[in-house]
Amino acid sequence: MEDAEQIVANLMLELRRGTLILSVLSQLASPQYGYSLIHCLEDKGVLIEAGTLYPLLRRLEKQNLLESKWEVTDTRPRRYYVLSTTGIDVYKKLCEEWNLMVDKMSKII
Amino acid sequence: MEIVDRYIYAVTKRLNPKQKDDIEKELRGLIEDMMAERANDSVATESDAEEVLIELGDPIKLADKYRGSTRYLIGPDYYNLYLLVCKIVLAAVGFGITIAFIIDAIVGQQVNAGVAIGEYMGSLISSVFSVLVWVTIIFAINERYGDSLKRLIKINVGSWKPSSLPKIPVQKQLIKPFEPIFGIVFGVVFLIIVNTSSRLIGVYLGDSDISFIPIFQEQILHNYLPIINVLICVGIVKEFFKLIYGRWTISLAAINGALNAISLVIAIFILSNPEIWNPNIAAQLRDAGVIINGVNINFIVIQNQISRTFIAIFVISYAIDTIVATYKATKYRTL
Repeated sequence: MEDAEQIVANLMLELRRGTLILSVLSQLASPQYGYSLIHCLEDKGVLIEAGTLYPLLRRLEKQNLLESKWEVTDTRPRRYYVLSTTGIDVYKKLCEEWNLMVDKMSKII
Repeated sequence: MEIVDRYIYAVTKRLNPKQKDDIEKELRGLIEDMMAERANDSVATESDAEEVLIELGDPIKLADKYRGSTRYLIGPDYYNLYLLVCKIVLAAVGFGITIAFIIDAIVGQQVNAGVAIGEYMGSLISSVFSVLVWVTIIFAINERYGDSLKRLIKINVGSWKPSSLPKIPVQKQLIKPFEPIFGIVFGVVFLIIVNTSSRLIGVYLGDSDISFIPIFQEQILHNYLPIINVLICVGIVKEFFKLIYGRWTISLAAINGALNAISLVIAIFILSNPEIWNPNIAAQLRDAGVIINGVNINFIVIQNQISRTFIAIFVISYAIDTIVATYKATKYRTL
């Protein structure tokens, strides 16, 4: 049997997974590469593994929410991602939905 | 660093070639960034690299995330069916080859028991493997292309509405699994016997000198072998449909009727040549003492009669099968 702590940890993982895309979109108004994005989120208390973020960025780009281009910084080529016009739109709507959800949840819990 | 190259290779070799190079470049940049951070501006060591790779995790899982899907040879949707088919077909092949071996042991020319058993084991093992390979290939093709094929012939994949739920079947409408399973086993056994020892199909007489009289003329039967195989396979396919549907529905009855029609055409085509029967059967039966001497038998007449009788049997049995299926399907009106 799992103990309560383990169950809470698993459920927290699911909750965090649900907010992941919103967190990522929120930081990409200006171009960032994957690793700088990890630090940027980390500074704000949101932890995301590189192994999760990098494939996620690819997926969001495929869905046309992000645009990307290669740039060389610090002698290293890096792929910079930024919100596309669709991405900006989606992010706005997602924020509204999020606020609605927070309202509803705070009323019931 | 070599360990980093190995890791990147382990990830990218699992990716589709179009995205491979780009992801490789990005992943390498990431690993270098992570190592540089750990090394605090000095040169990164082998252990820095290992820590970074451990943090990135299992390359197979990372590749899965990049691809966005897990790939299966045979996915969870079809796995149970795959196991079931494997079991049935293995049982059928084992049973069929054993029967062929027993018949051959009784009437065959092989006198050395060791050689006979060796041949038996050999054909058992090779058939079991080839059957497993074919079943697996068919299921793997279905896994890979099944959905696009269904979309092509406009079967809705993954969409359903409450009204499309099948009715709870009435007991009489259900097809008990052992029926089609028995049919498949029988079909495969027949397939093996026809292809390996068709000369052994005949009348076995207890203890007289000529103890075995073949029913068919082997040479002629041999010419028909490919089409006989088609006939038997059509029958096996029909049993598989029954097994999968599990109950008589209108679409199953339609499939059943169509396959029966095909089978009947093939059967009539084969049987309409009276030469497939052993021309010496009357003489051999007389020699064996089954037919009393002096009774005059015109064999040509008999050949034609046998053929006609068999055609009649086929027509009647296929007709009954089709009618019963259609009746059961329409009575309970389920598609």
